[in-house]
Amino acid sequence: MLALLSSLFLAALASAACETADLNEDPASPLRKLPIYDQDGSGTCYAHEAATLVNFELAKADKKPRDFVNPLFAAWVRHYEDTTFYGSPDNTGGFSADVIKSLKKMKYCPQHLVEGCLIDSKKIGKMNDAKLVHFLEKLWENYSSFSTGDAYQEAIDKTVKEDDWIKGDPCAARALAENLKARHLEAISGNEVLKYFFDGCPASQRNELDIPDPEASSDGPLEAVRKRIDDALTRGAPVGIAICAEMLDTPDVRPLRWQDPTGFSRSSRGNLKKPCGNHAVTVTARRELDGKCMYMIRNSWGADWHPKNGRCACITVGGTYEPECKKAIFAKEYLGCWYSDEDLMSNVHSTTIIPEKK
Amino acid sequence: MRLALLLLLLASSQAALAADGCKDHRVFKIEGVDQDLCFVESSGSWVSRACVEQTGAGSCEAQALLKKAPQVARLSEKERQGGKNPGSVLCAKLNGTVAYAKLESGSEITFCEASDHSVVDCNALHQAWSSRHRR
Repeated sequence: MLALLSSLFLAALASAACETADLNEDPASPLRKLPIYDQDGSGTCYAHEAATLVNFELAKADKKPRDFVNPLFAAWVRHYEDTTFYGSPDNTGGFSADVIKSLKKMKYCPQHLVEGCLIDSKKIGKMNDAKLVHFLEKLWENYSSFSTGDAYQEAIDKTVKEDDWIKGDPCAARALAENLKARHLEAISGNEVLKYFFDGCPASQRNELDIPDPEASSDGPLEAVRKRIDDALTRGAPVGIAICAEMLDTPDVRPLRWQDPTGFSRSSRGNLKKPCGNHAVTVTARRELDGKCMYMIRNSWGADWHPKNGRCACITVGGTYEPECKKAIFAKEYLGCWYSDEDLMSNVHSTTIIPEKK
Repeated sequence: MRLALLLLLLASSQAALAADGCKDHRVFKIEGVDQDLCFVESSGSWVSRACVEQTGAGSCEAQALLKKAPQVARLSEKERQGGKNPGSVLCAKLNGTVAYAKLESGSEITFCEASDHSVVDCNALHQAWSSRHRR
């Protein structure tokens, strides 16, 4: 009898701790106004996560999608324009909190102006944002490796013949490379080419990003991480997290070594088992499913991302929100997939949260 | 009478689609061009409607890519670095070309275009690959 009562008590406690907080459910939620991004083969997850967190705040303030932050622009500002950081020739890898700080410092060029700056080159190269950046980076990398003869021509040949991502449409890529040369943009890094493009969006046309500084944390035991995520969701805010990408296919993989429960640096590479492809995603919901506390991960792998046999939320073709989409055929867009409390918390390296405005 | 005939034609067309493995079809704007795609339930994939209807499921280039996807070796840490979409990485490794679709909502989906211009969604490639490479 006592055992039954105590198990009932424990179940009630677990249920109370897993109160539903789903930022996707309300059709008027800011999250429902944001696109699900697809970062394609670019390594810019951190910038996509930052754009999701920032655009959530912008949507809350009734800004329209044309005034949202563009993830590619966000990556470029953080890696190139804001010299507090690296002035890097490429945009692979980074931290979302740094991106948000850079966007606040440098101001941001809204989506519709970014599109205007890139449209000609994207048309010539038949490329999306992600592929354009990759092409510029690869071309520069190959150019830098040739020192004699017609280095630029050799770089074009190498890029269109050898790069997996570019060789699918070599004619368009060549056309873009020639176009860059005609504009005297052939001997500079990808990010310097982007600077030339983004000169079309001068400071006078940029928007202030009037949001609080992000709170980033990569330390602490499991309970502390859970509390940060729970507190944010309960007040209606999404949470940026860093995880190993492998977890999305294999939820019970444990890339973090078993840690000192009193606290540790989760982001330290020494604490990671290999392989671990660092990835940044956003937690947007918590709810109990079949007696288990689950958290929803919003990814940047497109609106049809859903792992095989995964439990994922969707907007149906009828326009309704289903926390668990029963059949792929009825899904118009997947909004995210559910991972258990235990699987998620054991995999999170760091969290990024935009606090409430005071 | 005309309406009944029309309904009959529609019903038989739908039945033919289902028999060919096309459980539903939807138009996606891929790289700015409308493309009619079929949902093939067995693989959970969206593939070009033409190849499913004309030659039967499994015989277009895009579906050949889908069959080859599990044979691609485990992706290295570098290939996953920065959270690259594994479906896109697999598409490039299979010599396909990644093509973007933008939905009305502004959300994005990537497709893998094969040499015969048929397409399959990158998520299906990822699913096919990951079912063999789960750790």
